[in-house]
Amino acid sequence: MKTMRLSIAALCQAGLLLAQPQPAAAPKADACSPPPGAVAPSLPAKLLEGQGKIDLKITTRSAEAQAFFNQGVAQMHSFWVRESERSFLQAAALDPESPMPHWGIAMVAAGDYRPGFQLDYVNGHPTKITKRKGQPQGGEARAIAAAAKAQKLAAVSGKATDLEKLYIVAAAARRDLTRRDPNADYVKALRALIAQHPKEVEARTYLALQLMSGFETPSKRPRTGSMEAVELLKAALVDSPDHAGAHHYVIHGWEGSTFAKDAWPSCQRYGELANNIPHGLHMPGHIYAQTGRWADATKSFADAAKNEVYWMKQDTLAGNGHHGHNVHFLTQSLSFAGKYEEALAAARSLLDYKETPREAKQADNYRTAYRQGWFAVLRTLVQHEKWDLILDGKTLPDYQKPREQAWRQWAVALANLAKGNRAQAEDAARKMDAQLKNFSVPALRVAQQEMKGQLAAKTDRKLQQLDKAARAELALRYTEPTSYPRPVLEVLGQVALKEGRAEVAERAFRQALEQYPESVGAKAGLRAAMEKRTGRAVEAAGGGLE
Amino acid sequence: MVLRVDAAAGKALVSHRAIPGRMPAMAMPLRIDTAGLTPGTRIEFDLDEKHGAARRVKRIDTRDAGEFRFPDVPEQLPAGAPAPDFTLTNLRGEPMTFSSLRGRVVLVNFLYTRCPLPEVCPRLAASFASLQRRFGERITLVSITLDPQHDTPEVLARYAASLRVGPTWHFLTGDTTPVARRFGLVHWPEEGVILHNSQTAIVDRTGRLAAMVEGSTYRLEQLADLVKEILER
Repeated sequence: MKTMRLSIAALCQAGLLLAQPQPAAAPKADACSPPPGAVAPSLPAKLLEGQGKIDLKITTRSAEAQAFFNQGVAQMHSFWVRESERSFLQAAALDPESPMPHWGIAMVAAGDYRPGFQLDYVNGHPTKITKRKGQPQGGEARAIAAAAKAQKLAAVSGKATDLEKLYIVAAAARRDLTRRDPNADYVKALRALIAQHPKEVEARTYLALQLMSGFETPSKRPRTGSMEAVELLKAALVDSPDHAGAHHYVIHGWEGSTFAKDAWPSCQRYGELANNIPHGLHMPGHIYAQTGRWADATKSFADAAKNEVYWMKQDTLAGNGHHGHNVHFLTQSLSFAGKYEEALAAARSLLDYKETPREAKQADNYRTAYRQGWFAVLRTLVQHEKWDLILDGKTLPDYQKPREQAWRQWAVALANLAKGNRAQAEDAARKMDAQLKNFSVPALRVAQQEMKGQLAAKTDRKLQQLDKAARAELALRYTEPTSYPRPVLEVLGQVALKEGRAEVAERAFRQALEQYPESVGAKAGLRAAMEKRTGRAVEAAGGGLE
Repeated sequence: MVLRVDAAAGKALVSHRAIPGRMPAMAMPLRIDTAGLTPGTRIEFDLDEKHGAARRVKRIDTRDAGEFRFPDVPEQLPAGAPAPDFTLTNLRGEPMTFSSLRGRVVLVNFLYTRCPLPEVCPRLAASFASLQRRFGERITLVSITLDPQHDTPEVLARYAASLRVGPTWHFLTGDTTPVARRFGLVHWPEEGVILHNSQTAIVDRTGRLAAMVEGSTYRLEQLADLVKEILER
């Protein structure tokens, strides 16, 4: 029989792949700000209030293009990259001959205009250069194309100043994938720009953002580049006290450090300057949470949630992942402030964001609004020891994904142990261990260590194991909200109290308060431990609690 | 693409693409296992030239997006069922009821005006524009937005003007999701785009769902063959 196969399937499938855009793969996205779109945002853009005032003069014949360009830079400073790209596109549409709007797209569309530490960079560039696989796609491809376009337009006589050309050279360096280390070359180009224009605040803030490498955990020692970023930002704010980007980057540059409190003035000012951008309202909460200002943190996250919901209602194409992160953090803040009902209500509100079919198919994606809500419910119930609700099978939905199943078994084990059902607790712990044979993340390994302590029969062994788990938790990578549901140190303190080891408990609670200042749970525990040790009542305020 | 099915005779009229070196694109009757085939179904198969038959017939699954699969829609109407009736808003801001088009051959597709993917909504719109040029007022075209918040009558009017639509091509907005689901459409917004499958329905003069074409990557000639086939009934 002579047959030939009609090869139309391949064509159709190729078309279909094009039809299903993947959100741009922002490197190591932390859900703290929405990623760039898989495709370029549509026009028109609108001029908006509360974006943070920026005035970066460019060569253009259109005042409107300049206004949209400035707005694009301001939105870039708040990592609102999709809107920033939209503004730059609008500026480009208004003045197609101006190179700088394309420079803006080259800066933001790839999704890597973020603090260096969020990209795993140290001192501005990856510590390990890995060979790239495949062609650039989505936002990165747009950024590369825009860099090329900016260079081409800038080469036309009279279309770019020397300063603009330096900005374009820097962005183009970062987008040149033929270079061995494009990020290092980006840093060099920014340094060259600043050497020629030492008062150029914009460039100094870009360099600071790229250099900030975060702080070690748990020592909080700065990594290389972090302190240079701090100094750059301090100087930038002297020259431009109302620069929204500089204030924003102070928050990122100071978070996780021993001097986080020094960022308080910038928290205040940034929230005022970028008060119509969710991230602008959200970020001050990071510092407030770290420094024990739980009421202020709660307000930041609640304001950000309100603003985010406003924008989500304005545009059906806005995603909800960042809203999930924001409300998740709100939940954690409420919990540490001792506001259980509000925390649970906030967490449960995220469960209304049903996952899309694509998200639902993903075995592990803790960034969806639903899964952040799920984890927020879990952390709230555990932190407030709502054991019956954990066991009721409804309050914490039985979500059939590896990460969530492991956490669920952990919580069920804790709940059963607290209720004296040791056999069920051991059974749940075994199930968690079994689950983690195929899937594990550092926080869940801490959970296993904690569970060993919780289940240990002898007091010394129990305390020793919990102490080990607490140290492991402190060494977890810095994330906000924390990847561990509640501080092990507080658990250690509670267990020690119960076992009559008041000194151990007091020490644990004191350390817990260093980790999370003003934690209502740790303060109450410390008071109880001190009272047990001294046999005297300790006043609620002061009374040796500091 | 299947144009007509004769289950009793075990045959189907199929519009196929060109087979390089063998034959041009054409509509060809073939002996075939007709199970699961309806007008508009897109298939791949081995052509048994000697017997004029299609072997190893496989339906093209346009819902499979690799990373995930567009879920089936329980509300989707089967081929041959009466088309759903609904009232939406046209680009002049006036209500338009679908059953008012009874007596005409009507093609329905779903798109959104800010879709940036050339292979999807722009392609669907271009197909309709081409059919409009080819068949003129012999057919009616209905494009329903999947993004009604953005695609107001004013936005649709601008979009329609860019496509030079004639009097028998309607653009509709409003509460379109329930309508979309009856036609097998599933869609959701996700970080800057609306993800959706693509369906083009053809409703015959009696108001029945005569054909359903999945996907957006069919050849225009195939769709035109299908329209012609239904017009000639």
